[in-house]
Parts: sequence; C-alpha cells; structure tokens
Amino acid sequence: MAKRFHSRSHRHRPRTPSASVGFAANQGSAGERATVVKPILPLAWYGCCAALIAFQPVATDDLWWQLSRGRELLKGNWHPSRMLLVDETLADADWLGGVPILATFHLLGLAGLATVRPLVVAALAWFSWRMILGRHWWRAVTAGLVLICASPALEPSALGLDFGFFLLLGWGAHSHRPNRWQRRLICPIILLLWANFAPRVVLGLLSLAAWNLARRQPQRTPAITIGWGLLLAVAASSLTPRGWWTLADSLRITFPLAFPQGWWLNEGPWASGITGFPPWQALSFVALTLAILFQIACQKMRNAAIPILVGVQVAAWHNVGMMSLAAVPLLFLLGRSYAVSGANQPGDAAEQGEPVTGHARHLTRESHLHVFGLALLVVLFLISLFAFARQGLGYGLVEALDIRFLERTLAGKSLEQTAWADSVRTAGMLAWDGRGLQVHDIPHRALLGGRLMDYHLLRDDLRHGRRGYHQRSDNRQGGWWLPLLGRQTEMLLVDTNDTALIAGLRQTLWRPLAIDGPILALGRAGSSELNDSILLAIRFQDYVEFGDWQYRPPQSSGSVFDRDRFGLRPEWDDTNLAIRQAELLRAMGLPRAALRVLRHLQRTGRERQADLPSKRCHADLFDWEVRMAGQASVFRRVVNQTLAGRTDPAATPSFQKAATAYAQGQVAAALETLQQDGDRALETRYAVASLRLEFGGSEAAIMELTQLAEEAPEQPVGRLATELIGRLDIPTVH
Amino acid sequence: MENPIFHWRLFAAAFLCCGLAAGIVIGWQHRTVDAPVPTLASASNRLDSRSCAECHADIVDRFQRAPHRRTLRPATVPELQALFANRELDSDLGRFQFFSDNQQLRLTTERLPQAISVDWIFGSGQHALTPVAVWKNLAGQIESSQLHVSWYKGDRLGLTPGSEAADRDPASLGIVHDPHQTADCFGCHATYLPSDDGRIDLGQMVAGVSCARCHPGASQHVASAGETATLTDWPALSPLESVRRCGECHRRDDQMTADEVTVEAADRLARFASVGLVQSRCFTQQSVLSQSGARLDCITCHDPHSPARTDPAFYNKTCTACHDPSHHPIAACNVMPNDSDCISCHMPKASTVQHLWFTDHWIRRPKANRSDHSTSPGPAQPQ
Repeated sequence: MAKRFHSRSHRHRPRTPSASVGFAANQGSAGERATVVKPILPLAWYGCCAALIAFQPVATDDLWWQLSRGRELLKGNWHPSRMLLVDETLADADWLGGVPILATFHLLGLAGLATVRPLVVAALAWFSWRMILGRHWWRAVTAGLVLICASPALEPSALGLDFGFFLLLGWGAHSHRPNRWQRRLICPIILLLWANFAPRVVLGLLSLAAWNLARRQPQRTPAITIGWGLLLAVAASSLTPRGWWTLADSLRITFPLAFPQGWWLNEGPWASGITGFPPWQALSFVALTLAILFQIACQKMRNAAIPILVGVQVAAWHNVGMMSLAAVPLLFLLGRSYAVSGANQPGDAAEQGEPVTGHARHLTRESHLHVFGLALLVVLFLISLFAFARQGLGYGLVEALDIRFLERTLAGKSLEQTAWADSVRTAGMLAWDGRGLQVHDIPHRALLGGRLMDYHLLRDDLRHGRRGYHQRSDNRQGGWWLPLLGRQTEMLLVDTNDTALIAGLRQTLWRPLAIDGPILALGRAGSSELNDSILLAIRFQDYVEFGDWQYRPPQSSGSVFDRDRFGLRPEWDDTNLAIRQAELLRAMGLPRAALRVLRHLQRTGRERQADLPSKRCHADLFDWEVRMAGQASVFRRVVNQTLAGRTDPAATPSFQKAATAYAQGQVAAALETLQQDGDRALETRYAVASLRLEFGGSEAAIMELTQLAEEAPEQPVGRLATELIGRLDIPTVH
Repeated sequence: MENPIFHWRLFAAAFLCCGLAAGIVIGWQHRTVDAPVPTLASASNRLDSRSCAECHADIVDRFQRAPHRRTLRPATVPELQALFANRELDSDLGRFQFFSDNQQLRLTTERLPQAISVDWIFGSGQHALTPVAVWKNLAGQIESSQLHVSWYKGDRLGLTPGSEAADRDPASLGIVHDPHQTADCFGCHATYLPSDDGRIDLGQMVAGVSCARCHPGASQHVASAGETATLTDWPALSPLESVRRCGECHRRDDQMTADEVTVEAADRLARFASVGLVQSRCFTQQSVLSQSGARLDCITCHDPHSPARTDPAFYNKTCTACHDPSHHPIAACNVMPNDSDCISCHMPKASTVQHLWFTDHWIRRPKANRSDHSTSPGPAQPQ
C-alpha cells in the first residue's frame, strides 16, 4: 500500500527545480540548492514535531485501572470490573483491555510503559509519513497536525488501544489483497479484536460502513455485498462476554451525549465544552479540517468526503478522546487525496511559470489563494505546536499518577471493607494497590450501568456536606450517610485538585490519612486499622500549621514519576504543584501552612500566581478570628483591607506598613516593623505572636500568647490567644 | 498539467456544514442541566401555603396552629422577644443576659465586652426555643452561632442542649456552626432554602415547615389546578417509609449506628421519636394485623396538620384498637386493666437535658418487667 502511494506521487512530482512553496522558479545554482534543500526541510521539521510529541510523560487517567483489570484477568477472573467494583454487575466487553498494558508492565516495568509513547509516536510518524508523503511542505504540515491532534491517544490506555485498532482497521480497509477471503475477513477480524480489547468498536463499525459506501470501487460493489459485509462486521464485534450488548455499550461510551443520561456528563471524564479541549489540539483539528476542505474545493478529493468530514466533526467535538480518534479518518482522507492527485497540491501552481493571460490570470489568482491556504495552515500548525510545546518535554509518568504516596499511606494496613473513589484515576490506584479494598464504582462503568447520575449526586452531597437523608426534587433520595455506611465504606479517595470536596469533608467522620500527594485518602474515624494513620496525619497537620515547618519543593528522585528525567534536576519546583499543595492545605483548614507554601512562590518571583490563593488564605484567617472572638484582630483587618486595595483609617502607620509587607509574603519584614517601635499594646503583641507562628518561632509565640490570655482573657485578642494555645500542642516531627 | 481550480461555493458549503455540526455538538454540551436538587432548594417548591388554602382551607387553617408551622421565626417577632428580653441565666459558663436594643434582641455575658444579635429563633415552643445568630463570611457563606441559652416550656431559661459540654474558657456566647452545619440546621426548619453553590440565601427562605415541605411537587399541583398529584403519595408509603420520611428531620433509624440504638441508650433516643418507634415490637410486628387495616406509623397518632393531642385517652384508644383481645390475638396487658393509661407505662417521658422532656416512642415493657429486651434490635427492616 505504502509503495503504491509512494510510486504514484513520484510519477506526478513536478520536475521543476523549485517546486517548494513560496519560491519563484529559479535557475542555476539557487535552483540546484533548492532541489537539495526541498525534501530535507519538511522532513526535518516533521521529525522535530514528532520528537516534541513523543517526549511527553504518560498522563492517562486509567493507567492503573487497566493494569488492575489485566491483573484480575490473569488471576482467572473473566469479568475483572465485577471483581474490582462493588456496584458492577455487567460483564466487560473489552475484558482483554488490560492485558497488553499489564504485559508491558511485567516485561519492562513502569519505564517500559513510559517508552510506549515514543514508540507509538515513531510508528505513527512513519505510518503517516508513508501515507501522506510529506516531502512537500503542505503534506509535512498536515502530517504534523495529525500527530498533534492525536497526541492524547498515543499512550498505554483504552483510548490508545482504540486509536491503534482504528488505524489498523483503516489499513485493513485500504489494503488490496488478491485473496477474496482475505479481503472479506480482515476487517471483521480486526473488529473482533477491537471489541475485546478496547471500548469504542462502534466507531470502527460506523467508519467502515461510511467508508464502504463513500469510496469509489473499480466495479461497483452490489449493495447486498456491502450489507453482508457489515452484518459480518457486526457479528464479529459482538463476540465478547457482553454479546449483543457490546455495541450498545460501545455506543454509550463513544457518544455519551446522545443518551438521556448524557447531561450528567458536564462533570467527569467526558466534560468538554469548547474550553475543555487543549488549545493545541482544537487548533490542529480545525487546521486539518480546513486542509481537507481545501482539498475538496480544489477537486483533489471527491465530494463524497464532505459527509465523512461532517460526521467527523460530530464525533470529534464530543471530548478530547474523540478528537484524538478523529485524526485517523482525517489521515486516511488526506492520504487518499494525495495519492490520487499526485503533486498538484495547493502551492505547487505558484511555480508553474505559466503566462498570465485570460484563463491563466484566473489560475494565478487561485494559486495565490492556495498559497494563502498553505500559509494559514502553517500559522495554525505553528500556534498548535507552540501551545503544545509550552507543556515542556518530559519522560515517564506524570506526578498525578504517582502511586507511591498511596502505598506509603496504606503500608502495613489490612483493610477488608470498601472504598469510594471520585475518579477512575483514584479508583485505579487503589485497585492496583490492593489491600483487599473494593471500590464502589468508576465513571465509565457507572455510565454503562446507568448509575452515573447517582455517582455524581453522591459526590455532590459529599461536597456540600449533605449527610442526612433528604429528598430531591425528582423524589430520589439524597444524603451520603446511607450510601456510604450501608456499603461499609472504610475509605474515601479524592483527587487533591477537588478542594471543594475536601473542604466539604472537613467536619465529617472522614479524616485525612496524609496531607500531600496527588490523591488524598480519607479514613473513617473509628476504624481500628486506620486510626493510627488518622492521628499521625493530625500531628502532621498541626506541625505544618503551627510548627517550624517551611515549604521546600519536592526533590527529584530520578524516578519514572518525575518529569525531570534521570535526576538531572535536583529540585522540582513546579508552580502548579505548589499551588495545588497550598489549596489542599487550605481545604483541610490549614491556611497558615498554605501561606507558607505560597510565600515560597512569592519569594521566587511568582507573585502573580500566588496572589489569589493568598487572598483566600487571609480571608480564612479573618473569618476564623470573627468566628472565635466575634471580631477579627486589628492586624488581620488591616491585612484584608490592604489586600482589597483599601487603607484602614484607624490603623497606625506601623500596622499599615507591616500589613503591606505581610500581604506580600515578607513576614520577617512585617515582624521587624511591628517590633521596632517597642509597642506593647495588646493588638500589637497579638500580631507579633501570630506572625511568629507563621514564621516558625512557635516557642516565642506560645509565650506571648500565654501572657495575652492571662492578661486579657475577655478581650478579643485574649480569646484568640486562648484558642490558639489550645490548638498549639505542636508535635516534633522527624 | 491540470491546474487546480478552487470551487468557492463548495468550500463555503462544506465549511458551513462542518461548522454547523461542530456547533450543534458544542451547544448540546452546554445545554442547561436541571440536576435534581434537594427538595428544600428546588425552585419549584417555593410555595406559600395561602395558595394551598384555596382548595384545602380547613387543613391550612388548622395548620396555622400546628407546631411545625412556627418552628423557625425571626427574632423580631414581639411575642418571642417578650420571652427572652431582660432575662438572665446563671450557668457554669457564666451569667448570660438577654436585652432588647431598638427592637433587636441581643445576648451578652459579663465575661465578654460585646453582645451578639439574635437573628432567628428555632423551635415551636412546644418544648423549647433556641436563639441563633448568623453572619456571612468573606466567601459569602452563612455561618451561625447556636446561642448557649434557650427558653424551655414552663417559661424557664436553661443551657441549650450541647452547650453544657462547651468549654468555659475562652468565654463564648454560643456554639459556632460552619456553613454546611448551618445549612443543615436551617434545612430542617424551613420549607424552602435556596442555595447557590453552598451559599444559602436566608432572604429568600420560607421559614417554618409548611405544606410544600412534606408534599414536594406542591407547586406543580397548584399550577395544574390539582390535576398533577404531588410527588409523595403518603397512603402508598409503607409504615417504615412513612416514619422515615418524618425521620428526615426527626432522625432516621438507619442513619444511626448499632451502638447508638440500644435499650441502654433508649433515654437518649427519646428525643428522636422516629428512631424509637421503629424499634418497637408494635411497629416491627404490625404486619400480623395488616389484613385488618391496622397500621402503626407517626400519623396513626399524630396529625401533622394540627397541634399534638395531649389527652391520654386519645392515645390509649389508639393502643386498644390493636391490643383488644376480643378482636385481635395480640397480648393485652397482664399487669393493668385494659382501660388503664397505656402511655404512662409503655411510653413514659424521658429527659436527657435539663428542662427538656420527650415521650419515649420506643414502646416496650416498663423497666420493672423488662427481662428479655437487653439486645439491640438494630435498624428496622423494610416491610
């Protein structure tokens, strides 16, 4: 197939020395140089693009879930989801999906999994290069756009398997085999494998049907033959443990918006909307669409491609995963177009050198349009690439998939009951870690089982602290107590980015077992296995809030979980990671600890990123004082006024100056300002003690607060001092 | 060589088709989602009982005197202020004093320089009235303080349940509740409590328990001139479902742990009638009499639209409707005559908090005769 495309293109390649876009037809040495340079530059450009896409860490959320499914299968459980999930009753259609990923893990470890992406990108780059023959800029650019658009699917995940089978199916549909039975059976076999390994087989079925109906046949294929072929394809797709329900499940996973329950997908892994797509992916997809439209408008592609393109739009804008898969049909459309039309590509006509008269004058105008089209394509490509490149290069697994935190938290525990997880990532980590805990549900299986609404409603109840049973407007039952305690839930696993949920759990019996990491495990207070961890976490919380703890960026371990490969960077000072840690601490009711993290950002020139989280922490401290004493201290009030851009007319100049410095993260400067006048007023002493607490001088702070509590127990600052002393049983943590 | 000709119209048409397809998908993702919200916050439930009076005048009229109707009122109500103003309480937490300042009820203590304004009064007064202060934090969420001093039946002031465990130092005027707890408190004492991402709107709240609180879907019922039924068909509920519906505020048995529902803890459970009732053998074994139409749930004895009856004869008659050996093979009392007062022995009053007495709804043999009820029956099973 590839050879045939290649040979056609060679036959139609223009012989003029300067057929690359934008160059006039030159003669002599410049033309000779252009002839040499012409194929290399697009090739090099394409290679750089591929390398940029290849060296990204694995970020797929369902990695651990797929590994767990594979492991269950190897244990002899043919319905892995049923074994791993409490609420699951259905069989898995894609029951083998975890096997290739687990096999890679067993053979090559996590580093092997991290290598999958570069290998897949290399394979795809070779495949798309052979198919599109990117020696022309236009083709090189479109090939690069395909890579960018498909990037999220190039990982060891269910989506990656879907992508691979989709490509395989496209190759099978295009391959021209002499043996009639080979021709008829290759696609059903691919579909059979696809249905058992990955969830979106219906996409292949629909694409195959559309492709067979739309493409030109040397002899017109009778409709009945096409019908029998599709029937065979449907039957092959249904040879899974789910049987005839396989396609229904696949349809629900692939096009969830089409189902009545689809509106619950505004939350969860399918939530997209126009802002849910990474800009680089949306731009690359739009550019590819425009490229194909150009091909159609230039009659380089049959008009029958239009309905296929429209269908691709309907599928692609569902979510990020579907947009990645949409790159496959676009790739085949472009490849077929390039193969058929040869070298007459937009931009080529500019170098023809035809006399500009009459019809030729009209042609020149069209050629300019083609150049404009190529320029637009290149601009979109560059913007996409730049946006993509801003993520930085990396290798390994993203920090969000770091399972070591959970392993450390649960080390030595023997747990027998169940756990609730808020996403497939958290559920997968727990399922892999084992310990005998069964997870309630995950969004994908909940979607298939018609439980997605209940899944999200429960999370909503947890987020808003609706513990007790209550009725909802549709007569459903609400409240998290019954669903969780009825299932003997012992643990909750929450993504640390979901600070609203973590804050909602603060006053419940679910207590954190740790204070950092990509996921937060919360154990049920009173659980004999988890009580020790809960108490230890409380000590850590007190330490980071009131002790002499100061934030330091995580040290690189050179492990596969660090974006810093091979330990080249000793410290991994990621702004987003720091913000996440600060927001987590704040959600756990530790605003002083959060401010310590944010001050690190302020000291290292990232004030803008730390601004809003800092304001929220200061607001929390203000509210705490109002709650405890009926009114906030003067210093706290002045700080909040300063952050709001106002001045407090009642504040002394030293208070104002100290508050300004404090708001900017300069605690030491604020302390110095307050102490330089020797002011021993109650409010000043309380302010100094508060700042010392945040700065790490807890002993001096305790002394000052104790004196305040004794001297003025009924003044607001005295009451605040008493409250703080009551909480200041600061442990020493080694 | 053939030069390409650009077909503008084809390009435009195809571009528009693709754009339309994409726009439809994106628009579909952004359509308004009407997620089921708690009945309390459901916009469709904001209904004044005067609308119900158009067809159910007698019930609505009776209901105005029911305790549920007045279970939450603003502290500016004159008769409520009169119960608190210029009164003091000496307690372990200090001396507290209520006073009225320009029609605003306030609470102070000698141990603190500032007073706190009372914003709401929780309770119908059948047992007690508890003052609550509210404020908005910087995030716009309502927080509250359940003040330490409550009014009790018999015109006495006493510590609010829970305050007896509060720390004496530092001095405080009440127990502070965070936004979630505040929403829970108001949630049981209101018919409509709108919230926006956890921020309750007390300005739009319908205080007190009125029609729509127990009859969700009432607004659609009114809008359809009675054609559309309300969501809850009370007669169709099983006894357990019926009691648990009341238990949504009065506490459900299945929301308590096994060690909380024991005979030894029965006195503490007296406050939660709906929990005690479902532990009773009268309740758990009522299926024996199901064919005769006998049924035991909350509304067997209590009409929620009216004040609770206080005459023992009424309740005794309800008991003997089943416990009549001439009609039903259920054991009659072997200690006292059948026409004696059942309630005083089998449903005595219990108190776990000073000044507060509740009828113990865990119907069982009096203590002197209890020899085989030492194990916890646990949460009731659906019938």
